[in-house]
Amino acid sequence: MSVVELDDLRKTYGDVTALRGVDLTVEAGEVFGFLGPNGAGKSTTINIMLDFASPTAGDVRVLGEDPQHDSVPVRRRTGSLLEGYGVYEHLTAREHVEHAIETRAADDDPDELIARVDLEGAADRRAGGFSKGMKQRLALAVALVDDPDLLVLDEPSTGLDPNGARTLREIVREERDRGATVFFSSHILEQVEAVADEVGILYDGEIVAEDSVGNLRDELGAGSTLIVELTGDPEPLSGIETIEGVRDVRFPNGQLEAVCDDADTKLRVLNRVSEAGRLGEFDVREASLGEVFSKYTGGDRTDASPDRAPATDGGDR
Amino acid sequence: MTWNHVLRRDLLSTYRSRLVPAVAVLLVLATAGIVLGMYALDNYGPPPDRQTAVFAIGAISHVLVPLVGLLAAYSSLVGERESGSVRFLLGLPNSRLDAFAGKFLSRLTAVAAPLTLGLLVCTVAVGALFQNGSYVAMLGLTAVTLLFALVFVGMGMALSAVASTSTRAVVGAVGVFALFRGLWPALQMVLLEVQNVDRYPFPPEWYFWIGRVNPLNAYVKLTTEFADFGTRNHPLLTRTVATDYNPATEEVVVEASVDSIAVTSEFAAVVLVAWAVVVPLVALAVWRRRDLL
Repeated sequence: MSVVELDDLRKTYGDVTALRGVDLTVEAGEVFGFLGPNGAGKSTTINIMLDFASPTAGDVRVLGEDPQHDSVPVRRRTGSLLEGYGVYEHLTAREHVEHAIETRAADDDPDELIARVDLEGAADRRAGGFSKGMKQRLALAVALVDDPDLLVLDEPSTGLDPNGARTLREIVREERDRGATVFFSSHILEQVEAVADEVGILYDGEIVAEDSVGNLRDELGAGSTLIVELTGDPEPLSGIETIEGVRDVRFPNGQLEAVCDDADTKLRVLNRVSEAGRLGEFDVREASLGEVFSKYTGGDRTDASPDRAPATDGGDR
Repeated sequence: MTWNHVLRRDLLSTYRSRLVPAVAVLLVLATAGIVLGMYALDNYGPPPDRQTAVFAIGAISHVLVPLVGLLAAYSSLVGERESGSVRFLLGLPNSRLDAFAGKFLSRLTAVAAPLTLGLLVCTVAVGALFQNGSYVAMLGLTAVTLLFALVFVGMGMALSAVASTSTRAVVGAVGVFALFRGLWPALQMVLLEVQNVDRYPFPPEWYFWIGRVNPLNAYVKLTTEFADFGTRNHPLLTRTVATDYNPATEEVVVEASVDSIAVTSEFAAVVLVAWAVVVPLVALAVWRRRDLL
């Protein structure tokens, strides 16, 4: 059963086009990584899924319901941690969680949820004084109230320290194992790669790739990197980048690093190095999703790698 | 329906933000404080008349209640959008109607509770101590003033639902107050000039049709139901009668009066109810359809 179905979703703000036809299907029980650089339209998509905004055109189904018609049934079964989440500064962390439990008529123990996100020490402090990371933890605790069928996390690791990021990953896995579907949006590849079963890449308002993490690596040939120790100067290897299937060539520290689309390409490169009499030890480095991502979003692997981009907390539209 | 949870949470938040306590102290002082002060300072002769108290409460409330009502409500919804807590509010299964209604009732409570307290103190004081004291009349004044508060809390809510930023909502609130307190009468004056009609002993009927649609005038008109303002009418309202003094009988005689539904208390009541109902309903319709993020 599909938990999220987006069909040709479009959104324009005045003459700015945020979404130009997003098609997306998220199946029940999977962790879906929604990947894209800042400004790609991730938050806009999520806002439409939860009825914070309405689409200019296209269809939305979440948990089988149309949130544009009535979003309450959707939100009754959905927990969300959204980018730009704000707390009620005069309420304590426990009061936030208690309020969510009351509104959802759930029977969770607020202290248990607060402990799950490692916020025990601050349970009775007013949230106005919380750091960004503490607010994220609080929002996550609120999102977990009443064991939602769908968990929507938009840039959930913003402001989290490494411990917090680990806790987040653990919670995502626990929720998936419980049977929940997790919609995990991020511009940071490593985080999506660490938890996601399926990945959709959103770029400039369109889904440019949607597949399993493994398939994306393979099929999109984002290139494992061939590394060859050269036995001499790289002079005779000039022009190696013109070999079909080679996407990027560098010569750091007497080595050759060639990003190759597939195994045949690697073979061609090795033959060429061998012909030039420079073949030493060689190794293959598996592609990270980062390279896949760069390929699809038009960035260069070395200097525009989005996973190195500073985290921002601006609106994604 | 989860508006009651929204109401409770919003009241707690605003109470702790000191907005509610500050508004409460202001409203109690401005009603009970003034009336008790009036009695305490009037040391000579008979105690003050109920009419004095009704006039004072009406004169203060017709300015203070709009300001306080707008202030209490203008940021309620747009403020949550700006702070991001709307993601909490509507991340929970609250409908937009629940959010609107819960916050409306919360801000109304913040204004109406202290206003009721202050006016009940006035009721007891005037009923027990003042000349021509009447508990019933003062309760009526309390009810009318609460209806008046509802009108302006509703306008504040409307601004909050429709405006895209708090700054615009503030500008709107100032604009609403300036419109009713200044621009509206100014417009009436300009029209009188343009029409070049004689405004003595009283202006033509259309002047009242315009003027009494103004909720401030409608409220003041309704307060005159609860004390005898005689033929002079309420000092804040345009005269609707022409009088003459008869030296023989030592009486003021009414020679002519405006004969129009516009100057009746019934019309004033309809006007206030209409403002109280129509403005929030229109705003709610916008709020339910608009993009929030």
